[in-house]
Order: sequence, then structure tokens, then C-alpha cells
Amino acid sequence: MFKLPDRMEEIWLSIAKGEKEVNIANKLNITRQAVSKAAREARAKITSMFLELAESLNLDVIRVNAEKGFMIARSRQLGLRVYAFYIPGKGIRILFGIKPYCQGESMSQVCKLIVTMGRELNMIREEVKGNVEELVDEIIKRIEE
Amino acid sequence: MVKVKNVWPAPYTGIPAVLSSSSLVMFVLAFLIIYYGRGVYDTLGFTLFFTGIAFGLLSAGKEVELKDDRLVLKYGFPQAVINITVREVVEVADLSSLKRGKLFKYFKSQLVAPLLIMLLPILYLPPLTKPLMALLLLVPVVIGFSLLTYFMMTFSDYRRFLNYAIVTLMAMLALIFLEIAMINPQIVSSKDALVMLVLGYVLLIAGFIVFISFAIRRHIILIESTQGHYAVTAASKADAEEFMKTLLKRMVKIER
Repeated sequence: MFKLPDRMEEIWLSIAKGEKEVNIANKLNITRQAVSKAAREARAKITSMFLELAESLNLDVIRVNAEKGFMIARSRQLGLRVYAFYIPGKGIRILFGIKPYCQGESMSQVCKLIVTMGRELNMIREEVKGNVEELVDEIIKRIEE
Repeated sequence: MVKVKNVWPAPYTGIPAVLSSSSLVMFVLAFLIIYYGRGVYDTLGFTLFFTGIAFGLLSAGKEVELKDDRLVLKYGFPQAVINITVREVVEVADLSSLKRGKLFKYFKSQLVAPLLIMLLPILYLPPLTKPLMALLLLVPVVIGFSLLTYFMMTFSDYRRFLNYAIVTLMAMLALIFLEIAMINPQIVSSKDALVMLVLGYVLLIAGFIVFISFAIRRHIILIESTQGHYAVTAASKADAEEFMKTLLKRMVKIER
């Protein structure tokens, strides 16, 4: 339910990385129209996942980017920022807007996944170096712009 | 077809953007020509003024409609000029609620008009015979500067800036009104004139506060599609949330 089908995810990820539809079509040996359709469906599915998440956690949606696969929302009960990322191969992972973001074993794993995705999708500037916490902070700053 | 309540298109993209920017520049040019032109170019000034009004009305956002696979942004035009295909939308964001959201990042061309109206008085260099003429030249500069801050600042900084601006304005106006009363002693001696002066001050400040509270309440929503960036204005945070959810749900429904 919270993950895209493999082929669709491959196409979505290629587009999110900035590849042209024609090149993806050539690489996968399908038509450009098929790539375009798969990309649209992937965006709709990701949006649907984020909306379901927002409904179930009682969040106010602030930003949904279906191309890069992230959502910024605000928890109505806690008044906290909530960041949701679609991680290829894993599904949706959530981060609460409280620093440090990556405290504890499970959150540290989530942070690593977010940083890997952020690097793949050019959400971290090349000159930015640092530990996982700093890189997550950089991603959050970028998506809050 | 769904008409979205309390949400209006913002003229930051396409033809409406060109018209609204031109309208602003025309108003300033008309003001400079009529006030400083000593009556020589009045016809040109008034033509620019009325063309500015027409352009402003044509570029004013009227309503937002969701029609099947289309998000239609209607402006003052007889026909809708912006049709966004919902399935091509890749991002929806409430810029006013983002921590570092600013309009400049998405609508760079909107800086042209404020910069131009700040430069116009310098380029025009009218003959200044009275001190008031020099003072009034600051009006376009102040308007241009206010618009620049609106586009360049993050929304949270802009709200803070407006709060400081209203306090500064209150102090400045109080000083000006005090000076008026001191220059004209008959104001202090006449109870009616004094009441009028104080009332004028209160009304001016109340007007600014109302304007600023509207400016703060409004939310700008960014819609990014594969074709470009668009913006709509919501009357309040709740209206912005409602619109975003409706649009996002439509995106999902259409692909099913």
C-alpha cells in the first residue's frame, strides 16, 4: 500500500533525478508516452500515500512534492512540523521537526535513508559536508524554501 | 465543475503578470508626468493612468475553478487565460507556512516592476521647485521598496517586518502631526481642530493596521506543474488548507 510497484518506481526515480523522458524510454525500451503515463501515475500514488498519512495522523498539509517525493505537514495535536519522505524501495519514512532529528537507533536509520535519497535526488548541495544530522538539517532547510 | 471559495488567482505568471507589472509602472509614470510635468504632458499622463487602471483590472484575479482535469485561473479577462492540467501538477505548497518560503525563488520576473518604479524618479529627474516635490518623489521609491521586501523576504520575516513597520509608522506620523500642530498654533487653541487632527491620526493608523492584518492573514499557494509555476491567494490559513486538499485529492482521483 505504501510503496510503488518496482517498474513505476524506477521511472519515477529517473525523472526525480532529472533524466529526460526520452532517455528513460530508450533505456527501458518502452515508448515516451508510457514513461509519461507511469510518471503521472507514480505522482498520483505518492500524493495519495501522503494524503492518507495526513488523514491518519491528523496533519495539516503544508507542502506536497510528488516529483521529489516529500511532504511537509503540521501535527494538529502537537503543533509540530512533520516531514515525510518517499524512500525508493522502502516506502514512506517520517521525521518529526525536533532537533536532534537522528537520535536513537531507529531514527538514525531513517536519517541515513533520507540522506541517501537526498543525495540521489540532488537535495543536498555538493559543497555541504558533515554528519548525518547536519545533512538531514540541510535537506530540511532546502525543502522549507 | 467546482468553484473554489475564498481563493483567487495571483497575477505572477503569464499575461496577467505582464499586465499587472505594466499597470504599476504606468501609474508611477502617470504620477511623475502629471505632477512634475507642469501641465505640458497631461494628456499622456492621463492616458497612462487610465491604461494602468484598465491593465490592473484585467490582471486582477477573479476566481479559481476545478473543472474535471483542469484548474482554471480566471482573471479580469472576459475569458480564462490560465488552464492548468491537474495531472501535470507536481507540487502544491503553502508558501506562507513554509519556514523559508519566498516568492522571489519562483517568480523572479516580478522584481522588474518594483525595481523600475524605484529607478523611474531618478531617471526622470524632474525640476524641483518646492521641498514637497522632492518629498513626493520618495513615494514611488517607498512603494517599490515595499514590493521588493514582499517578494524577497521569507513570509515569517515579512510578518515581523510589517509589525516593526507599523510601530515606526505610528511614531513617525505622531511626530508629523505634532509638528503640524506646533506650526499652526490655531490648531491647539481650537478644540474642534485638535479633535480633527487626533481623529485623522487614529484613522490613518487604523487603516494601516487593517491593511497589514489582511496582508498577514492571506496565504500564497504555489502550484508547480510540468508547464511552470502558478500562484493563488487564499483568504486565510484554513482556506489555503482546504484548497490544497481539494487539489491534491483531485490529482489522485484523476489518475485512478
